[in-house]
Amino acid sequence: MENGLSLTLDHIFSSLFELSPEVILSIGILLVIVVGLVKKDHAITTLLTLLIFSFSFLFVLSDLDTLQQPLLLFQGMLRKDTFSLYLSALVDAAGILTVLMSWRNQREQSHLQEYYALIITVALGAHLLVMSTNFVMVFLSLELISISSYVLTGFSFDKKGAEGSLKYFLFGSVASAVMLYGISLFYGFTGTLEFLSEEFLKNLAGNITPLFFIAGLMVVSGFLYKLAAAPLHPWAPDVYEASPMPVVAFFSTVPKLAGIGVLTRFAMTLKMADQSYDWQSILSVIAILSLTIGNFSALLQKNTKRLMAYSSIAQAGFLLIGVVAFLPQGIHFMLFYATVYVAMNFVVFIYLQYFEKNGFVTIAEFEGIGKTFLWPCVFLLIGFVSLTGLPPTGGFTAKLFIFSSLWDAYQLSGKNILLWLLIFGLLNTVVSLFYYLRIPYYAFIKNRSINITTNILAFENLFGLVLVLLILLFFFSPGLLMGWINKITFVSVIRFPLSVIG
Amino acid sequence: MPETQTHYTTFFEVCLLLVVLLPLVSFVVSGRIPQRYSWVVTFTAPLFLLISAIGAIYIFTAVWHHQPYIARVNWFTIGGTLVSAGVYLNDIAALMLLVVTFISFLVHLYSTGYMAGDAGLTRYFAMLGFFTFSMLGIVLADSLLLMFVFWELVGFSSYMLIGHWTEKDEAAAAAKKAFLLNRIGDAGFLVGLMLIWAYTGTFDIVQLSDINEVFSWQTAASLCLFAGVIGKSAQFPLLTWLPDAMEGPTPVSALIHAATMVAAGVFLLARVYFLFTPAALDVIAGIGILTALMAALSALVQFDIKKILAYSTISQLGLMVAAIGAGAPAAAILHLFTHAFFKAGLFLGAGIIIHVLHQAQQQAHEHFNVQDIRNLGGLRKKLPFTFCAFVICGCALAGIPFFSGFLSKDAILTAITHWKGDGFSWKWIVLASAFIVSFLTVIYTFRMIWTVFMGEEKRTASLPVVEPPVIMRGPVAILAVCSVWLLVDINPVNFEGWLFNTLHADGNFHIGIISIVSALWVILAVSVAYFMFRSKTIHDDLLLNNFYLDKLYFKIVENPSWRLAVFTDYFDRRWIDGFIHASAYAQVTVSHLVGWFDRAIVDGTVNGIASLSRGVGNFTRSFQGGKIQSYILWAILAIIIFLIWILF
Repeated sequence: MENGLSLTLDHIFSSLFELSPEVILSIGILLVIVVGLVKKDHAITTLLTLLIFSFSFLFVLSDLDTLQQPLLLFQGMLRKDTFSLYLSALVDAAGILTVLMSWRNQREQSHLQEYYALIITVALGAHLLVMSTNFVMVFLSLELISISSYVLTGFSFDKKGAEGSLKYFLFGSVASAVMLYGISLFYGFTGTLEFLSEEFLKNLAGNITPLFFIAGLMVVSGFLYKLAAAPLHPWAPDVYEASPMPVVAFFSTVPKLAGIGVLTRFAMTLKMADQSYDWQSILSVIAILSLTIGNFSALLQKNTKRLMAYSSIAQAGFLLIGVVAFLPQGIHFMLFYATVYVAMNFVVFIYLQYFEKNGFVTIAEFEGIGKTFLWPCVFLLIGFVSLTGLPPTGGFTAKLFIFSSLWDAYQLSGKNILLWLLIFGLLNTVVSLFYYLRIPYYAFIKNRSINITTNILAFENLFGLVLVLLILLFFFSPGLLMGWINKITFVSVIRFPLSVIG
Repeated sequence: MPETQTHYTTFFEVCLLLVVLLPLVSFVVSGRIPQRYSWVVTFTAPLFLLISAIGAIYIFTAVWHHQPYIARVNWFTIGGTLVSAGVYLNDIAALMLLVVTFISFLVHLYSTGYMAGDAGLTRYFAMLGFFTFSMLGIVLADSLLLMFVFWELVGFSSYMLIGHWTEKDEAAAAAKKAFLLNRIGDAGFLVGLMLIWAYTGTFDIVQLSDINEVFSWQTAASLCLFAGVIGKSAQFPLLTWLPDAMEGPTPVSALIHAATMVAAGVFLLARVYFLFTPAALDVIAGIGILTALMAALSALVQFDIKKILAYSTISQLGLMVAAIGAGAPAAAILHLFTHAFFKAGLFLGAGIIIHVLHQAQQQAHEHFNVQDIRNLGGLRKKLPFTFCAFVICGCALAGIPFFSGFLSKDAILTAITHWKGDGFSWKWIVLASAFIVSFLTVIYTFRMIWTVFMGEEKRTASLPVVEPPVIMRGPVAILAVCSVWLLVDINPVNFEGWLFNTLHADGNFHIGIISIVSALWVILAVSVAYFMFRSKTIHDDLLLNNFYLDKLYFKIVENPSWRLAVFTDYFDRRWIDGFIHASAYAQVTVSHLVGWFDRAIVDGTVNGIASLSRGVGNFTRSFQGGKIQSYILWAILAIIIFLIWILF
């Protein structure tokens, strides 16, 4: 027993060393708060946060480079593999971009150190969530993200922010409760919380009941809530509208990445364990719903933030398509899509923030500003074109990949629902054109003379240019990124041969 | 030809290349030199031409009396037919090469004085170089097609140079007229080329000359080629452009419109003489002599010194063409050769008169038309050098013994006499006309020289006239020297010199009684001129306006064209536009129908889809009431619906 305990402690310690990015982030949270207490200087806090994210990012990258095989940490609580590392890297990149965005906003942002601390916390939660293989860990990291997010939503410290924050909290609590109920049902069936373990699968395979399906759907609902996918999407527009712009940008990427990561893992397990219920069809319907609700509701929006909220719902649908294919390359393409999504989403949000600062909030106010703000509008246009999925942008390549994997899945399984998903996806791409191009349409086609002098050398333009070049690069040589993504092995499927389950 | 290879060295070929390309280099260089440094052109252009002329002398000595030099490259192939381009340098071509480069050099030299201070100096020298290059192209081309290309280029440079003074409306009109009339002739040339291609499948002059038989198509083809000659050499009925072309700078008139370009027609006739059938030659002889007579009569009454020279040029060209028609290309080429020198000399002399009088006018602030011989007189005292040169060249033109013109004209008269045969036929009229022309030539030359240089000074009396700089006098002096009999032969009464005998290889006629007759005839003409026309001027509107040819053309071509234009305009408006309007109305009607369909059916569908989308949007959005409890309700409801859908 003594020996066993010391072995366990050793394992925990060695696990801790494997978690260097997460450790950095955790220390970073404290450091930011402490430094914020001592120094009231905005720049130092921002730089420190930037540094923390950069370090974490670099460690993740080096891990991604050196990791040979998946590691189980903390006795099966976490699982570190290339898939989780890639998503962590994306989360850190999104974190860096958020900090850079907030930099432009730091004078207006009160409680800056708490603000940054919360952002780092969300990122930490996302890191952990994509690694989680244990339901408790899943719940903890999900709540880590959620609770920090509730607070962040209110960081504009006005009535609207408070309202949004409360709505988010209430909705999130229900979603968490639903998920928790599902988790407890699973525990009841299998006696284990490690949903990737052989025990879990074995016990599950023998007990396929409707109740099992209910439990599975409840857990999935929790993830869908993080993903802001239908039918657990209604919180998104209100929350996005209430939050500060960098936070919106952050919300539309980091929790989504974490949610899609854990959903992918869990969905793979479900598919494996449960042959009687057609999870592929269920996820397809969810994707169709997300696409349709997101795109069609966005058509009539007047506020840019709400527009982007619906856009992010629709994009969640596209991300789901990659998972729905249930093919290795489908997941690779999903990761590619996620990467492009981070880049294009941030381009759009950077300029929305820029225009918001110049007083353009509703879409109608963008009328005729294309001449005054030529380059910002051009970059914004490229961002929107990419979100729509038209060449020559990375968004086109990503959509093409996603749809091609879906087509392959349809060819393999012959399920009609996949074909319908494909058709809906294509139709929704057309629909999305109308609202994505509305802002550029107002900016370029409509005429209005404005007397604002602009500085072309604004920080936003440099920032935007880099991202725009990245988006174009993803189009012109997607092989660069795909080569890297293809090295990622999504091993949770491979670890349990079908014979074990049968 | 193996002999060709042995006789002609690489040095020869390099020289030939230099001769041809240096004028082109001059064109490029002159064209590239900026306006500020235009004085540079006055050094480079004559220099290039001097080298070219020296090279031409060497080439002439190498080719003369030897096997022709032939070199060709493949130009292009049409189907299986190969069209080549190259050089065919025989005796005639070598002679022309020499004449063209030599006179071009003299004119370049002269122009540096004449054109000094002109705003378009670089353009002038560029086009002069381009002209020389194109002319050499005509001379050397071994195929009719290539020759036609250069023929057109020559026409173009002539157009550019006639209209050199773009600010003058007359110059622009004259350039346009020259261009248009030449195009009429060239259309004939082109048809001739097609005929030749259709019947022989080759443009190559050497290959064409191998045809021994006489085919009926040759008459048509050769007459078509002759149409080109009519245009270029200003023969009847296309002769009216040459007098107008005198609007260009005088050195240009000397080079292009007297010595070389207009002679290109005669050269072409001599070059492809073998193609011509007897019938075609008769036509050519007739047209030639008619032109000569008409132009000589017109020259008699002109007042403009350059017009007199222009008509005299036409007249002489007519004689050459008649000589070709009479089957004596050698005589024609001999006359071309001598004529090039003395006519260039006369033009440059006239140029001196115009130039110095202009300058004097500017000093004295007096203005009158210096080209009008009625304003001139007694200039021999003020311009003694010019007077001498003018008289020498004039004597050559008039065909006075001991001058080159006498010999070459003798050759032509002898040729015609031989050609007319023994019996009495219409050919006698040609001979008589030729004699009349030579008589008239003496009279108009005498009149011109007498009016300008002898008698009392008229309006020039008060002007401070001085001789021009040596750069202008030099070329005239050289040309005057070249106008004496020594150019042709040592013997001043024998035209069968080095030149004629080489060209006239078959020797079907020889010097005879005609020479003596001709000499006497000319002396008679001089005395008649001296006694009858010294104090008297003839005035005749018919002749002054060259038989009203211009008016006639206006009446028969321009008026009907105008009327046709008015009619077609009316037709266009009334019927074509009417039809278009009707179809436009029909289209508008159909458009309305289609528009209705578009609005009601197509747009209706689209709007229907749009409103459907809006409806879907409104529906999906309707859940967003802003109340969190309803959000949660809908979410839970959705999950339950899922459960029901899957489970039941």
